[in-house]
Amino acid sequence: MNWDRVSELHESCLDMPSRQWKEWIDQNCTHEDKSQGIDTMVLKLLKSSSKADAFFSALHKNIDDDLGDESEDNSLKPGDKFGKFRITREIGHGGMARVYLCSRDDGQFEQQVAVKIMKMKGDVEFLKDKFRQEQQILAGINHPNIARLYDGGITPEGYPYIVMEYVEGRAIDEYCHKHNLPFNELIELFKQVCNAMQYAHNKLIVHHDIKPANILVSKEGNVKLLDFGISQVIFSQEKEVQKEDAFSGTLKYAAPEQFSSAPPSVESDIYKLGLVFYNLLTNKHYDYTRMEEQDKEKEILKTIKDSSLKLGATRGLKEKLIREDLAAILSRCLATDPSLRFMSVSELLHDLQNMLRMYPLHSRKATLGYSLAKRYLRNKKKVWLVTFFNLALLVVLVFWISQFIQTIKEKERAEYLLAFVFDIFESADPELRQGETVTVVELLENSIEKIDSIENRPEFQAELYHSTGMILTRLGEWERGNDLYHKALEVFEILPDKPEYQIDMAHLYRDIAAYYRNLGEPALADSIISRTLEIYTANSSQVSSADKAKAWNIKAHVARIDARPEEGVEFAQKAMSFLDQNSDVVSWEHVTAKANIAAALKDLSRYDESLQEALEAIEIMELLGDEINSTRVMLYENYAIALAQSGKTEQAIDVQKELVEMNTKLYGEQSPTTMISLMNMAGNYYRLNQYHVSDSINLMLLDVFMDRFGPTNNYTLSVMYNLSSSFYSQRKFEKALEFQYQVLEGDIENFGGEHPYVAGGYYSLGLSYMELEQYEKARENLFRSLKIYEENYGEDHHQIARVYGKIAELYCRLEDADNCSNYFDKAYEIAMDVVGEEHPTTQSIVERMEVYENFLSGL
Amino acid sequence: MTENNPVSSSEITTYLHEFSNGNKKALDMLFPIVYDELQKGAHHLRKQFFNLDTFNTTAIVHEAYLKLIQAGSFDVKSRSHFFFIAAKAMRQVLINASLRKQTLKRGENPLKVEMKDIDNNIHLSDQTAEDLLMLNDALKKLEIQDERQAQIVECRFFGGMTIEETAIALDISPATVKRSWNMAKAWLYIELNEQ
Repeated sequence: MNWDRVSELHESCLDMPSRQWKEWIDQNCTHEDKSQGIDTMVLKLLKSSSKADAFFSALHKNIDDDLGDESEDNSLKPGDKFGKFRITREIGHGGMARVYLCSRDDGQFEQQVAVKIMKMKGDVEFLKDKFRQEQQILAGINHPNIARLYDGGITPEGYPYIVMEYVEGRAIDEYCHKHNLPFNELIELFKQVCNAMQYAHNKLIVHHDIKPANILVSKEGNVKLLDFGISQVIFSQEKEVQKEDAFSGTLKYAAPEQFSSAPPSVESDIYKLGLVFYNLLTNKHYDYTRMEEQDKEKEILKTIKDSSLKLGATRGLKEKLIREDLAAILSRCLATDPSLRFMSVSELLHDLQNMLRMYPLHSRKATLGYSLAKRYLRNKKKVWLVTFFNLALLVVLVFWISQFIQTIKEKERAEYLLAFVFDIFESADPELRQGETVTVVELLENSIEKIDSIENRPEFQAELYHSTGMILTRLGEWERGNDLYHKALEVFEILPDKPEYQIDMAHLYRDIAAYYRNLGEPALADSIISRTLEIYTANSSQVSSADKAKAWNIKAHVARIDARPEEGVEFAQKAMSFLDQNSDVVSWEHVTAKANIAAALKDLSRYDESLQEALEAIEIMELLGDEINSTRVMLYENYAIALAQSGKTEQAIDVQKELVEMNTKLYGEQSPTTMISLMNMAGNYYRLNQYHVSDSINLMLLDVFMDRFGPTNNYTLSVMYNLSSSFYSQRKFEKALEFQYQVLEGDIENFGGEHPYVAGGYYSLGLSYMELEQYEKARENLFRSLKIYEENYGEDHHQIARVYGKIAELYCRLEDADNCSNYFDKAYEIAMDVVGEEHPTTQSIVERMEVYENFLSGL
Repeated sequence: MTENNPVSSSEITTYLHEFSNGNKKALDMLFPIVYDELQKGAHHLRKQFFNLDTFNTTAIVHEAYLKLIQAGSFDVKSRSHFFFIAAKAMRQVLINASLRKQTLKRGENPLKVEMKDIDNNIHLSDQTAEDLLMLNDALKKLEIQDERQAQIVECRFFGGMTIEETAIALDISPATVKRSWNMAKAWLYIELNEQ
């Protein structure tokens, strides 16, 4: 065969598409070529090209692998001596080393150890030095989940060896998959691994070669990490030569940054923990190369779902959340960028803990749905923690300091207080500065102790109790906040009778009044805020009009919830008048005053005016910037209620969604105010007949409120009321009655038997009994309701109209036509008069009248 | 050999210049030195990379070059010529290691190879050794058909040389190297599979 001819033809074909080869060769080969088989040969060569490439690269790789694996035969047989040990048998054999089970040879005492002997010789002097240095560090490792290292050195033949604790067990992956381990036990195992890692990291030792083969599980289910710190000895050799492409550790269990020869770090250990965890959960090897960073979490979640991972008895929402949490935790461990991973193993452990206790993870972006679901599932956990990140903590402190600066009267005082704040910050848990999460409440707890110990400066002590109480209150720790208010009060009692202390004490009363107002105790709140106002009036010249307005605003608010809406309007207007004294300054107190007026007008059924005031307040608020604060929240809350009352339910829900977000930002997602926005939102979903949404929100809230505030708290009662309405609407009347009675009892206890709320309670009972066809009980309750409403509101109120409507209906059912039409007429008349034709109350009455019209005409 | 008769870096440089200028006898002087260095290099590098998952013949060649030739004293042409020699030497190192493996496996007395020449540090798996020996046989056939192509295979495969380096060492165009390399690989593959 003519070689040159083959080359020539082959060469010509290289640049053309493969589908043209055959035709081209056929056309260009002479008879002589063909008779020699040149055409066949060329085609064959061309077609073999890719297979040839594969063969040569495989061979190249095999050569490289073989060169890398120097399997010098230094193996030992059972019975061979090794130092003071005798080999029992070989128990492991890897690319780098063999591991033997050995027992002591001196007959002194029984001791079994594992001896790991490297297959290749090291630089003896270098390794000896290294072992000496490292042994001291490694000797310090003493942890139940880490195999002890007893000894290490170089054999006379020059092979590095290590003598370590013998652990009888299986590799963790094998153990988990063979035993088909339940989820809980799997997590427990992994937590043991994490604990051991955290322990070592605290001692500044990274493992660097964490992989399932290095994590054994004993028969008793205890984890032992092998080879801890050994990598530091071994791999330090390689650092000496400073090879850029030097790469150590096991490829399958390597962190991405190791490919660019970053030194071993806590972050790379965390990555490897992630790999191990992934493997345990999914029984698969994680291949990061397939995944774009942003798709990782989704991909991982998919793999978890597809895997045979059994979450025990966990089902439904909880199961879903746990899967999602696992994916979030894994993707954070496995982030390509080390700085995006958990900063420490303890942070990882923390999130695992959160997952198990159904707390929101730090690794997950908190969406409203996610945190709501978490809170709902956590319902039996009665811990009320407000967790924040450092940043939030700092914000609180800055807020705290700014509180002081507002009240600075003298330089010394400012300095004292600032120093105090920083002192608390410094003395906080040191982990704080490592990005650990600490509850603000815990931090404040810390500071209370410090305040307790202040001597000689009672005036500062009082002020600090007061401020800390305010923060706790804002964090939803109302009772503890109140405790501190009272501590502050006690200190004020012993202070000399100076006007400045009197005024400070009045400020304190103001906050205490707000506390009782929030607690739903308007009478107490009212008497306390009156004391504030007394002191303010007595020292009028020394009290700013802003402070006065603030007090009047509280008084207005209290009047409102005490069912005295006219007074509410009056007091809020008083607040406005103080504010107008500084007419060029617009402040948040203006907004509060307007908001109070709007709310009170809403209570007086003057919805148009109420909306007008609310809109004005919002206008003022826009001038003040987009700061989210309590006033904005209250205003929006009232605005939303006014919208809902005017029948603009969807609009109201939109406002409430914003409110939930604002409240979450302002007070944290678990704060009472956030809960209240949710409660109102649920109410509107109820109005839209979306019972599944409203019920699920309300049941969650009920659980939280019952736990937090008890059964007679205003908020607990409101939620129960909403639930009763919902069950009523779903025609589950027995269930509705159950809640209705609880609400009634609570309302009577809180507000006395004559409060409009109590009227509402009787009204509801009346409705349920009517549906259950227990008409006598229904009548009784409806008339009780009517009586109380009349005493509170007089005849002209839409509530009265509502009750008349129901009484009419009741008489219809009792076939009392006269009373029936009589009461319908009254109801309609009042409703038209007070709220007009378009209002839902009127509409509903008209609708009921139509239903019973046929019945009436038939009689 | 080097232990007993250390060759200085400047001597090697001189030999290499002679080789570059066409003195084929210089190759005979250089080959054993390079061969020896590659063997040691394999061992030495392994120590450095102790726990490597991948190991690179190219790295050994480069290491040997740095070791034997004074840094910076060489032009690209001489460097390529050194690699050309190193590629031949590496072929020999690997083939000898394969032969050793085979003879040990068969328990034969290795008549063809003197034990003292056989590298003691390189341990190839059965499969690799077998593949290498077969490749060597096919390569010998190729040498008869087309010596240039066989040299290209040595440079590219055993020496880990780039197309550029190969082109300079063999004084041909890079395009020719590329085409010939393509054909040689295909031809060797067919040859290996038809045996």
